[in-house]
Amino acid sequence: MDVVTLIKDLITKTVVVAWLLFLLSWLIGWAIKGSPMPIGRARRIGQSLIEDAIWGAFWVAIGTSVFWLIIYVSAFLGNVYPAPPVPQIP
Amino acid sequence: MLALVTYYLSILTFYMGVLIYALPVPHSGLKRWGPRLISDAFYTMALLFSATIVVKFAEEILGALGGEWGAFLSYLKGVMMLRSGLAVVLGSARWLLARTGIGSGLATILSPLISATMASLYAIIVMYALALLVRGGLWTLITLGTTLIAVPFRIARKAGAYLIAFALVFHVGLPLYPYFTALLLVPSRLATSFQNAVYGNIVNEFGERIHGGFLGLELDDDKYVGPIPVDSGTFIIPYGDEVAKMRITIVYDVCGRRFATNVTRLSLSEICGKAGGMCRVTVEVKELLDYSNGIAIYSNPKPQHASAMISGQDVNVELQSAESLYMYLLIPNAYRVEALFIDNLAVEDIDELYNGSWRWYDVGGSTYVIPIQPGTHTVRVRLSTTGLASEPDESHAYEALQNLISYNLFDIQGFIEEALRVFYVDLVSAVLYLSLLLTITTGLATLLGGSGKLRVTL
Repeated sequence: MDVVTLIKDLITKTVVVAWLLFLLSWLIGWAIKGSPMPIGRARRIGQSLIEDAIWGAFWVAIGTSVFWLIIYVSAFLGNVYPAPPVPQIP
Repeated sequence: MLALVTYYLSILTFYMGVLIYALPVPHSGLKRWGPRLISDAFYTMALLFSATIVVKFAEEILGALGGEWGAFLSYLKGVMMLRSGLAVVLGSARWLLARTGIGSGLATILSPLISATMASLYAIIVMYALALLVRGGLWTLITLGTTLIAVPFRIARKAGAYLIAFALVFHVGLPLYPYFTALLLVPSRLATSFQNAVYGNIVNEFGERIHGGFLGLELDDDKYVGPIPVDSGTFIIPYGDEVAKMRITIVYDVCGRRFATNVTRLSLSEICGKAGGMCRVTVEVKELLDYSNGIAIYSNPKPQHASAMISGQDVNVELQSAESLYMYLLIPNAYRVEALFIDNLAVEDIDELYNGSWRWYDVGGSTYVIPIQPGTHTVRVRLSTTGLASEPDESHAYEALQNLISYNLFDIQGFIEEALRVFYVDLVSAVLYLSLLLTITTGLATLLGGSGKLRVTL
């Protein structure tokens, strides 16, 4: 059970860090994209940062739903598992 | 417990993938892990939940191919019995031959035969160990494999996939091993003759095991094959096709008396419940109470309860019966009766109980009859050894076994050839089959643990 508690703890910490990082990289991405740099490639890095950040946010939001769906389907197959942890931002 | 760990690990993997997506790092090697981790998480969870379906599917395939775990395990046990019995027979034959001057040449020919038997026995034991592992640990292996796949960053993915593939392939593949061996063996009369054997334990009418003694076979054509030694309470009688068609009677041949058993004038298919193959039979000897080292005790009629113990130089019998009966002690000349106690009262004149002498191959002995009144009584006999043999010489057993085997084959050369082929094929087929299964395992492992199939965009 200690391993399980450890992993659950890690999940919560990971989600908290992920939310914060999402915000951070979105900001940095816009900063780079909007900076008055003549180098186009640098600006594209900013663009990719923004995109990845948005994807990340999307998956965080969707993740719980997908897990819930999988568990719902598996309940029909006879597997009973506890509900997936829904970690919130502090 | 492992399943729970896997479940939470896959959720953790998902959120780690999300975390990597959120890192303010340009799209590079590390960033590519993001979508990979997310798809891995879905894959792991799907695997965790579909494990039961996959195993049920595998068992369906096994049933369709005609394999069955119970039958496979008894086949293995039977073959182990047959091989070890044969090794014992060959070993004693070699020792016997080495004693005589001329036969020692033949003894050296028997040596490689014995090594081949032991090698094939070892191969079968390995198969048996694998069978037990897969049978008992199927679910443990699969759950452990899934847990390893669930470890983030695909660290243990290949290992976990290999474990799952191993468990599944061997669960389906191992029971099909007898069919594989049959494919390799060219079917011939001599080959099948070695696959048939009857083995089992000897018990008395009270269900207690008798640990020694000899069996005899009375065959249809009035031929008597015996004495076949019973080793540590287990006997093994290989038989050929001719014997399979006959009606046989098994008798317990000790101390000059052939005790009837529950196998009287039965054909082997009636005894075994099927024609041919290895089968286990419990032979129940009538009237006998115990036998050990040449001493036999029997009673007529049967008491309600009896327990006998023969140890070294003491015989202890406890009887309980509702009617008066006679207890017979068959003592070979290897022992001398020093004292006899009935209900702890010493019998003065032991010669009064003497009821004749008998001859059992090359062992002579005497019979003592003790009348027992109704009720519970104990009989104690104290013996001393005289130094003579208490059981027939091994040459008689060897002759009997040779007679038995001579029912199966044309000549000694054909026998050696056939035996070598059977043992060689046994060893080779075991190795071949295991490598076959392992190759299939690798293939399935690549399928399970290869690069992800669910490709999430970006």
